[in-house]
Order: sequence, then C-alpha cells, then structure tokens
Amino acid sequence: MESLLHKLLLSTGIYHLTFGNVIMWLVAFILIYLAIKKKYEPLLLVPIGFGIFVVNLPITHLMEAHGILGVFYHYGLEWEIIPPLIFLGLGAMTDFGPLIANPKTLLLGAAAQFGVYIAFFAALSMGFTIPEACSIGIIGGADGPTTIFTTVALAPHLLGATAVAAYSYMAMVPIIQPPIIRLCTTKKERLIRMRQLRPVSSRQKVIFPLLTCLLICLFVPASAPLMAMFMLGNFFRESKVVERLSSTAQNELMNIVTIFLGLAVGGTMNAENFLTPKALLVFVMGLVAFSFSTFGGIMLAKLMNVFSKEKINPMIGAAGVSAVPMAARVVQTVGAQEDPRNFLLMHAMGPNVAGVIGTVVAAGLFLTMAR
Amino acid sequence: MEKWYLAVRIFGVGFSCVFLILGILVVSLKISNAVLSHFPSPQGKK
Repeated sequence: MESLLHKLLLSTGIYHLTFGNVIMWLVAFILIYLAIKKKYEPLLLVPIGFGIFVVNLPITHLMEAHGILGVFYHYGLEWEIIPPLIFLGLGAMTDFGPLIANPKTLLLGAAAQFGVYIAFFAALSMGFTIPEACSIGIIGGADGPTTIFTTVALAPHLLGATAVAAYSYMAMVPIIQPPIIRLCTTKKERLIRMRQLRPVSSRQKVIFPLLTCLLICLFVPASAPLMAMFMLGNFFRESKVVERLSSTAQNELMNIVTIFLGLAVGGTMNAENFLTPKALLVFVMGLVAFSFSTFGGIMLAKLMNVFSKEKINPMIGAAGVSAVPMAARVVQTVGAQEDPRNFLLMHAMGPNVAGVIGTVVAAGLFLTMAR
Repeated sequence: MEKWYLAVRIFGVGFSCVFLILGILVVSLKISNAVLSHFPSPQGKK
C-alpha cells in the first residue's frame, strides 16, 4: 500500500517541480500580463506565455518528439515552415506604394541594419560563438519571423530568448525610439516637411514583388524562403485577381500559424534552457541592437541630406528598423509633436517596409557565412 | 583570433552587401518606374 502511494506520488508533477519551473511560470505570467493589460504584441505574447507555462509543468513531456509542442516545433520551426508562412501573410498585408514612389528610402532600410552588426560584435565580445552572435544581432532588425528563422538555423538553444526579446522590443518601439530620435536630430531637422509622394500605378505595384524576389533571391539564395513568400503574398495582393488567397494569407492562415509559432517558441523556454546568464545577455544585446539600428537609419538620412537637393526629414530613417507599422507611427508622432501639420507617416512607411527587406537580406548573409 | 577575423569578414562583407543589394534594387526600381512611365496605364487606371 505504502509503495503504491509512493509510486503514485512519484508519477505526479508536484514531486518533480523545481524552483526553476516556478520562476518560468512567473516569466510566463509577466508576458501574459503585458499582452493583456498593456497590449504588448498580444497575438504573440499570449501563446508564447501560455507555451512557457505549460512546458514548465513537470513530466508532461510536451516538448518531446511526440509531444504536441515538440511536433509544432519540429515540423513548424525546424523544418522552416512557419516563419515563411508568416511572411506570406505579411506580404499580403503590405503596401509597397510609398517605397516604390521614393525608392531611395530602401537605403535607409539598409542603414538600419547597423544595429544588427553592432549587437553581433557586442555578443562576440561577451563570449558568444559566431552563430549565436548572428542570432542575437538579427534581433536589431526588429523582425520576429526573421529572428526565429535565423536562430533556429544557427543557435536553436537561444530561440526562446531571441524570439521573446525581438517581440518584446518591437512592442516597446514607442518607448525606445523617441529619445534616440530626439538625441540624434535637431529641432530644425525634425521640422522638415517632405513633398507629397507621387501616386504609384497598379502596374508598378505588380512588377515590384517580381523584381525584388528575382534580385534578392539571385544574390542571397539563403533568404529565398522568407523573401519568396513575402513577395508571393504581396503579389496576391497587388494582382487583384486572387482576392480569396490574399485574404486567407492575411487572416486565417496568418492566425493559424501564429498560434503554432507562439506555442512552439514558448515550448523552447523551459527552466534549464532559459534561466541562464546567456539568456539575460540576449535581452541586453537586443536593446543595444534596436538602439543602434534606429541610430544607423537616422544617420544615413542626415548623410543623404548633405548630398541631396530635396531634403528628407531624418526622423524617417528611424523607421528603417522593421517593426511595421509601429516604427513609422512613432516617427509620425514625434514629428507631430514638433509640427502638428507635418504628415510623415507615409514617408516613414517606405523605410519601414525597406527595413523588412534589409533584415531578410542581412539574415540570408548571416546564414550563408556563419552556417 | 580566428573568430574575430571571421567576424570582421562577416561584418565587412555582410553590411556592404546589404547596401549593395538594396542599392541595386533602388536602381532597378528607378529604371522600371522610368520605363513604365512611358506606357499609359490601361484604361487610365492608376
């Protein structure tokens, strides 16, 4: 009888509960609180938080080969399925009109990758390996699916930390960016008004995804899964003949894969993996990456003003960190605080979507050189 | 030492390639915009 009771006790989770599990529940509840109360990326942080909660219930084996979260992780992330599908939906949601109307803003998206490389070096100096440093650096691109795609390929043990850092900082763009923007620009620069963007024809919008996909996949084949899906989604949207596919990519499919993504990422965050000094450093490095990406975008915009007759408001460079459309909204808000009649939103959308393309290229180059 | 050598290469090649590739895209877009502006939109659609 006694041995039976002992056996029963051993089979419960309570017996196997560790202090680390309890800490991870706390982390899960903080993320869920931020999502529900502060509305910080709720679509991602709710499933991630719940995933962390359940994976830290002892001996549930949810992340093992045949566990439900393990299956999501294996087939969704290790097989590189979910991030490209998210990109399909993002492409179908994105209007590249402002970028096509003012192509040079693409360069601001490139400059905003500066933080990626600063964080890369910072991570290396703190003892991370090159593949780990690449995964940490890419957080600076402010692009969740790209961060996940890169980390799964290069440093899967850091997936939880990099993904949560990327999504948390993306949600905190309105807090992180304004002081950096003010620090890097003068009042005079913030008051610069830009000429209204020219209209873009539907033909130009249809050609854009084909041209971009062709060029980027030719130069950086490693970025093809993300770029091809991104541009396919946009092609659905702009071709205007597959409304149902476009709508499915933007809504149903996007929602389904978001659930799988959140749970799979949360599932990687068990106490043994996450409660390490490295994970904490990833968060610090993520902030460094974000800040320097903002700085890089603004500085290139200032440099472009030196050589260009038609001035651009350097604040739009800050939108070069992807975080669509949050970073562009931040630029609009900071601009409106100086001059309420200065409408920068559409101008900032150009570098904003260029940032997504830039981050995918940077990630593809990391995968090519560090794998 | 070898790690830092590789890191500097990744930075140098990577960051300049990001600019180069997006720069090529800028030029391609400008060319395609210029070419398309010579053809009227079908049925005056924008």
